[in-house]
Formats: sequence, C-alpha cells, structure tokens
Amino acid sequence: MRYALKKFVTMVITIIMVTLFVFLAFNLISGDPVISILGTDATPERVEALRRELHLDDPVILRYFRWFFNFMRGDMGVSYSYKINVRSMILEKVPVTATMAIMAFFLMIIIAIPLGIHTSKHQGSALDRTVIILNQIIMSIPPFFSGILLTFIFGRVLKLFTPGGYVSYQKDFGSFLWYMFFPSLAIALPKATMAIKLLRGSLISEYNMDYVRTAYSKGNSTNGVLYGHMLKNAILPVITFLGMALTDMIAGSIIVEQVFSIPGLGRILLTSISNRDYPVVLAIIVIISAMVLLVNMLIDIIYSLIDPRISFEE
Amino acid sequence: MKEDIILEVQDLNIEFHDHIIPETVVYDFDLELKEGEIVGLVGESGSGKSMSALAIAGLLSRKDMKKRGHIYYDGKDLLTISRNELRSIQGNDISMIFQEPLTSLNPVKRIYDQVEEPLRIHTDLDKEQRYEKVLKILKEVDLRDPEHVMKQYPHELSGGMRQRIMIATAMIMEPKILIADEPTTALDVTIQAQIVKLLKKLNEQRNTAIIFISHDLSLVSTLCRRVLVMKDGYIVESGPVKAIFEDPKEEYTKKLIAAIPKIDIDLGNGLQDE
Repeated sequence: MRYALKKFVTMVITIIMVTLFVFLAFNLISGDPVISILGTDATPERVEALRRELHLDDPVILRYFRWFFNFMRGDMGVSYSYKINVRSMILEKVPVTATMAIMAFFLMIIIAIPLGIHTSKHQGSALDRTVIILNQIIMSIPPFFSGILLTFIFGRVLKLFTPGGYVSYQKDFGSFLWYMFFPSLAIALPKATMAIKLLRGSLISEYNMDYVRTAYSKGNSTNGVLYGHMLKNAILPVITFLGMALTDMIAGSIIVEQVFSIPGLGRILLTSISNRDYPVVLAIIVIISAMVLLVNMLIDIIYSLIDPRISFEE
Repeated sequence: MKEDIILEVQDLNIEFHDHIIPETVVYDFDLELKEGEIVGLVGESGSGKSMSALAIAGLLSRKDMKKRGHIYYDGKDLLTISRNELRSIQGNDISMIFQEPLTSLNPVKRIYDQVEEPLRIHTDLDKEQRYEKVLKILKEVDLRDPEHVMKQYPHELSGGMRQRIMIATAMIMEPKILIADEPTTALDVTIQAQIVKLLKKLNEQRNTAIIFISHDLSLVSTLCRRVLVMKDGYIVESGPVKAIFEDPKEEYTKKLIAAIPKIDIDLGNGLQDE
C-alpha cells in the first residue's frame, strides 16, 4: 500500500515535470498561435487584442500555473483552432488510440508467444528458418511503410477493408474494430518479430540450465519441462520488452494514424503542434504520459509476481 | 543377471561428435550395482565420472553424442528403450542429485511444487496424500520447520538446506538407485559431513543403492564400501575401499590418496545438526 502511494506520487510529479517542459519548449520554438488563428495578414491591433485575450503576454511561469490550476480543477481550456472544449474533444479520441494500442498489444502477444516457443523447440526446422528470415525483413521495415503495404495488400488487392474508410466507434463498433485491425497489425508486426526473437533466444539459453536437467531427471516430458519449468523463467526478459512495446504503441500511434487516416489522439496532436494549439497539446501529452507510466507500473507488479527474487516493495 | 544385482552397466562408451574428430569421454565402463549398495566413483575433473552417471540416469540425450554398450535395469536396456519407458523410470526408480543445489532448483517455483513434482508425474495420489508425503520426506531429510520451508523459494534457503531439498525430491518416490553427482562439492565442510550422513541414513533405512561420485577420497572412504577409480575415461582400478586405500595398484590412485588432506572427519562428533 505504501509502495503504491509512493509510486503514485512519483507518477504525478513526473507528469507535472513533463507538462512544464512542454510549456517551456513551446516558448523556445518559433511560431505564434495568434498568427495561425488570424492568418498572416491580420492587423496588428487584432493580433494584440487576441494576445491579451489568451493571456499570451504574461510570463511563462504565470501562464503555466494558470494552466496547471485550471487543469487540476478539470478545466483543460478551449482549443485555439477548433474553438471547442479540449476535454470533450480529447475524451472522444482516447478510445480510438487506446483501442488501437490494446489491439496491437494483443496481436503482438498472439503472434509472438506461440512462434517464440515453437521456433525454440524446433531449432533449424523449416518454420524456424522461415520465421528468422521474415523477422529480419519485418524488423527492417518501419511501421509507416508496413502500414502502406498492409493498406495495399488487404485494402487494394484483397479488398478486405476500404482504405481511408474509417468508421467512428460511436456509429458502428463492429466496423470500427474491423478497420482498426489493420493499423494495429502494422504496429504489432515489428514488435512481435522482436518479441519472437527475444523469447526464442531466452528459451534456448534456458535449455542449458541445471534446473532443466533436474526437471528431466524427475521423469518430465519435454513439454512438461518446457511449460512447467522453462517458460516462467524465459518469459521474464520478454515481459520487460512487452511493457516497453506497449508504451511505444501508445506514444507511437501518431504515424500509423496518419497513414490510415484515423482521427485519433496522434492525429490531433500533430495538427495542434503545428497550429501551436497549446491547450490541446498539453492535454494529450498528459494523457499519453499517464498511460505510459501506468503501464510501466503494471509491468513492475507483474514482474515481481512472477519472479520471487524481485520484490516490488523496494 | 545375478539375484541381487539391480543395475548392470556393460561396455558403456560415450562419444562426442561435436567436432570434426569424434572424442570419446568414457571407455568400456562396467558396473554391477547390488541392491542397497553404496559405490563410490572417484577421479579428477574430466575423468568421465559425471558422464557415466548422467548416462545411467538417462540424462544424456544430445544429438551430437553416441552411446554404445548396455545399461540393464529391471531387465531393460536403458540405452535402447523408448523415451516414455525411460521417463517412467526417471525420478521413480532411478533419481539423481547434482553438484550445485542452487542452480539445480528452479528459481521461480516454490519448494513444495518442486519436491511434489515426481508424485504428480508418477502417481495418482490426490492433493492431500501428496502433501502428507512431501511433509514426511522433508522431515526425513532433517529439515527444520518443513511447513515453512515448503512455501519458500530456493534463493531463500542455505546451501545445505537446498541440497536436502534436492535429496528429498530424489527420494520421494523411494527409488532403487540414487545417483549423487558430487553432492557435497559446493558445500562447506561441516555441511558436507551432514549430507553424507543423511545419505547413509537413507541408504540404511530404505535400502536405496547409491552411486556416489566425488573427487574427495576421504568422503568416499567414509560412505562407500566399494570404489571405482576413473581417469581419462577409463576405470583404472576398482574394488573394496579398504583394499584400495591400503594397497593401491595404480600410480594414479596413489596420487589421489596422497592428495587427501590429513584431517579426519569424524561423523560421530556433534556434526549431525545444523
């Protein structure tokens, strides 16, 4: 309980630091939200008036604290460019990005765990060699390109989905899930290949451990040794990787959303950054960093549950 | 096969084919093990004693290795029977303990699960019966507070306790043969004496034959009646411990005997308990 509290406080502090850095970073880079709202041919008087209205002339620290206390009260402000409440705007987008990340995560596990086990058990088999070669290829393709490839193969050639035909989850949840499957696959594939490689290597090194010999000496079958003894040991480094992959999927969905034209968090984050729409950017960053931190904490807990030598109370 | 001989190894040869030139690590190994007998297998590192033992326990199954000869147990040749038949003997009739008890135990499984495992594999006992058996065997290997120990993990125990756990696991099915591959080498001297004493006790109570592998001749002389001396894959000398100690025929055996530090380990003197 004390551990959870400590962890929570660290999380909050981390998020506050992140928002502060974002605030400062926006202050350093060039670009002006007022210009992007009014256009470059606006009169200096109108620019001046809007500046004052948005409190952009105040010192950075003052502006930060004003944003911070409003945020604490649940008021995320109003988007400069869309003129709508940031909170409702973002809450509507969270399920889109979250669905994609979660789907990609499960796809990764479904692909990686069985293949990792199988290839380690049948080293040098035809499947093992095929997987190794495919791994190398997929690993070297960046997700935006595999996204384009998947769109081409499944959308244009096999006509399994309509490229660009995104269906909102509020309208038709089934079609939404079906459409999200392909971008999720694009994110999941490169991570899955890494997870296969990791699990395969981890299992192979476990084969030489003394406890494996002991397990055989008790009369275990090969599967008994593999599932009863080795998997729990071999999965440990893989879990660390899976956690990292999930946080990567949450934060890294921006590019794939762009490729598949999905109106998720990543997409509005990108346009909001170029419009210097601070309230939107800050709110999205808070959400993404909170998700990343939560996942990390979850991984710590899972790790300590599997490996008795690691106590998460420390 | 003679009446009381339970294991007969004939002309066992073990060859490795992991290099261009095959390498033989054990030549013409012969052994007759009587019921309830303790045989010592001594020799330096690389003499082939562990390889012979692993072959008897059915734990040498590398593809780049060839085994020739016969290992007869219960009328069956362990080198030619199927994996399933071999598995029904492993951990049941023939079990083995190893040199390093920490790495030989699975680090992420509780002691109870590891000791209980042979029961789950070889018997149809229900949960409570298995629990009773585990508790009984843990008491028999002189572990203090077995109810607590069985809930712990290997890293929470001392070296001596871990080896007792290994012995308990190996003995839970009351095997005919226990192969102990340098079971005391990783332990300090007082614990060594306790483990040897425990093995002797189990041998007397249950009439389990033990193949005791060691490079420590003084330990072998306290535990075994008969001893085989191995060097470079060959058995160079064998016979009763007493005869070999008093009148070694081979130069190598003389050297091994000369290498014993002159400290007597008296098993009768207060070293029984931790």
